[in-house]
Amino acid sequence: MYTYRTALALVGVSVPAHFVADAEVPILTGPQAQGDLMVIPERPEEVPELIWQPVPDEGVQVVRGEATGNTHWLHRGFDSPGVRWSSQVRTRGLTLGYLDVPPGQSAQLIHTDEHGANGIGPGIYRINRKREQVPAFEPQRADRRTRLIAD
Amino acid sequence: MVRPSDARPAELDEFVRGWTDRALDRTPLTDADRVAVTDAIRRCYADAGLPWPGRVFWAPSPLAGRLLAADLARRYTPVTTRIRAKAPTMGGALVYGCAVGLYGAVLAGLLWLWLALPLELGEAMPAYWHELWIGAVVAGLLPVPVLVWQLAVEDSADVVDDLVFGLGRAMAMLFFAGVWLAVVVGQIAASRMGAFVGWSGLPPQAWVATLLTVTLGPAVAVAMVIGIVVKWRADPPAMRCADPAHDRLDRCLTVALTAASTAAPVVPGAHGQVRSAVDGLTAGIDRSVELAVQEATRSGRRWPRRYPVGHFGGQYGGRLAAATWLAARGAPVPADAAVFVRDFAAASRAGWWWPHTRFVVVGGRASALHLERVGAGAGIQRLHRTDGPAAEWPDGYRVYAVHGTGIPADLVGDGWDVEEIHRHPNSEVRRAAIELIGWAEYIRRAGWRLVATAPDPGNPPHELALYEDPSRRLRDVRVLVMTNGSPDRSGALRRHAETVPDAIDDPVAAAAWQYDCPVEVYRKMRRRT
Repeated sequence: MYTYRTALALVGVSVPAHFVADAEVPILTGPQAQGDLMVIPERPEEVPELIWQPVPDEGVQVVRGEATGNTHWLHRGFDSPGVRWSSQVRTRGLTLGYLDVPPGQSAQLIHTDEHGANGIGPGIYRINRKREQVPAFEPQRADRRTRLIAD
Repeated sequence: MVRPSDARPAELDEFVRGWTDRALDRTPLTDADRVAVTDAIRRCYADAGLPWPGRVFWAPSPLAGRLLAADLARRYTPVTTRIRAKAPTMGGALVYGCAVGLYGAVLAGLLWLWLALPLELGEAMPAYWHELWIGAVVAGLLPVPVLVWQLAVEDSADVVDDLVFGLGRAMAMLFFAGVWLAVVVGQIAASRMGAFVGWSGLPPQAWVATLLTVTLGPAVAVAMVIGIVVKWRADPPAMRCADPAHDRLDRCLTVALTAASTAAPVVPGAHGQVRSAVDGLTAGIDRSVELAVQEATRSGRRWPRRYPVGHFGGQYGGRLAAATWLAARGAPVPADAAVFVRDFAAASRAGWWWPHTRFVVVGGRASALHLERVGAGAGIQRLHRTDGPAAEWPDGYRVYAVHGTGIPADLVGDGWDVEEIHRHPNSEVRRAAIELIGWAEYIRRAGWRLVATAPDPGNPPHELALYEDPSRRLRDVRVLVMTNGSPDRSGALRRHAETVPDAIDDPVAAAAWQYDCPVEVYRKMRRRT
C-alpha cells in the first residue's frame, strides 16, 4: 500500500503540506476524480476491442497540464505486474485511455502538484478529461461547441 | 518497420525543435546575421530572375517594416506608374461626376416640363400656380445633395448599376418630395416673394427659364464636383500601385515547395508530420502578429493600402521545414527547388521581409515572446500573457494576446468592468476578457442568478452551485461553481467556475456532463482529490 510520500516519490515531487505524508492512499474501485480527470469504472462487456500495453516501470504520462505543465502519472501499485493501459489519446472525445487492474492488484494515479494520489483497485476503468461549453456570444450562432479544459 | 502510431521518431522531434527555435529566435541580430540574410535574399532574387535592387532597409518591428515599406514604395514608384494607376480612377470619377450631372439635368428637365406646361396653357391659371412653382423649385433642389451623398457612400464600383438604380431613386425622391414640399413651402415662400417683388400674376417664361438655369445649373455643377472628389478619396482598388517582385518570389517558392513535396516517398510521411508540427508551433503566433499589424494600419494612414507591398513572414514555415527535411533525407528533390528552399529559409531568419523591385525591407525579430502550448504531441503554440504584452519588439511595438486572441492593451493593464466587456464588439475579445478575470468573478460582478445547489459527490462538505445569466445575454451556457478537492500549494481551497450547457438543471448532472460520465455513476463518487 502506498503512502503519499512513497506515491509522490514515484514522480519525484515532495508531499504538499495538506497531506499527511505517511497516511496511506486509499484504494477504491468506485468512481473517483483527480483534478480535471475522472476514473470511471466500466463493465467489462462495455469495453471495446483494445490494444493493451503493460504499464512500464517509469509509469504512463496520462496527460500533461497545458497551462501549468503539471502531469498526471499512472503507475503500477505494489506487486501489481498485470496492470495494463490502452491509450486513446488519438481518438476524439474525452477518454484518455482505459485501465485494466487485475484482481488482487492496484494502480496509482499521481499528480505532480496539488492533487496528490488516487489508488485504483481491481476492475476496468475509463479515464476521462473535462470539457466546458463554449458560449456563443453572438445570438445567431446556434452551434453548441465544447472545449477541453486545460489544467 | 512498423512504428507505433503515437510515437514520433526522435530525430523528427529534434529537427522540429531546432527549426522552431530558429524561427522564434529572440536574440538581437548581429552584423554577421545581417550579412547572411542579405546574401540569402540576393540569392532568392537571382533564383527568381529579378534584378537585385541593392537597397536593404532594416526595420525593428513588423509594424515599422510595413510602414517603411509602404513609404518607400510611394517614394520609389515612378511617376508614370502612379499616373497610370490613377488614370482608371480619374476616369471612373469623371464618369461618376457626369452621371450625377445627368441626374441633375434630368431633374431640371422634369421640373421644366412640370412647370412650363401650365405656363404654356396661358393666363387662365389659378392664382396659386406661382406658389407651387417656387415650392417645386425648392423641392427639386433638396434631393440633389441627398442623392449625391447616397451615391457616394455606396460601395458599388459599377457605374452603370448606379445609373439605373440611382435614377429610379432620384425620380421617386423628386416626385415624393416635390409634391409634399410644394404644398408646405410654396405658400410661405410665395407670400414672401409676392410681397417683395409685387407680383400680380404669373411670371414671364423667360424669367422662369433664367431662374431655373441660375439655381439648378450651379447645383448640378457642385454635385458633379462633389461626386468626383468623394470617389477619389474613397480609395478604390484601382488606385493601388502593385509591385511584381513579391508575386514573382511567391510563385517561385510555391513551385519549389510543390516540387519538393511531390518528391516525397510514397510511404506516408514524416514530412507531413514535420509540416504540421512546425505549423502548429509557429503559424498561430505569426497570424496573431499579422492581425495586430493589420489592425494597427487599418485606420489613419492611407499609404499602406495604396502602395501595398507583400511580405514574407511565417506563412510558409511548415512547408519550408518539410521540404528541407525531405532534401536532407535524400529524397529526389530537384536541385533548383532545393536551392531556392534553402535560400528562402535563410532569408527569413531575421523576421519578416518585404521584397520590391527597388528595395528590400527586412526586420521584425521580437525581443520577447510569451507563449503557451496546448494540445497533445508537439502541440500548438500561441501568444499568451495575462499580465503584460505577449510579444515585444526593440522599438517598443507591443502585441497583447491571451490564448492567441489579440486583445486591447488596457484590458491587460487595468482589467475591465462588466459593462466594458459587454460593450466590446469583438466576441473573441469579450471571451478573452471574461476568462482573464475568471468566470467566478465575472458572474459575481454581472449578477448571475443561482439556479440550484447540491452536495458535491466525493467532496464533502462542499457544494456545487449552478448559475445562469438573468439578462439572457449569454443564454446557451450556465456556470457551475465548484470547490477543489485539494488545497493548492499555498494551502488555500480554491473555488472555480466552468461553463456547462444551459439545458442541465441539476448541478450534479452538470458536473457529470463535464466528464461525460453517466449521472448515476457520478453520484457514487467517493473521493475527489
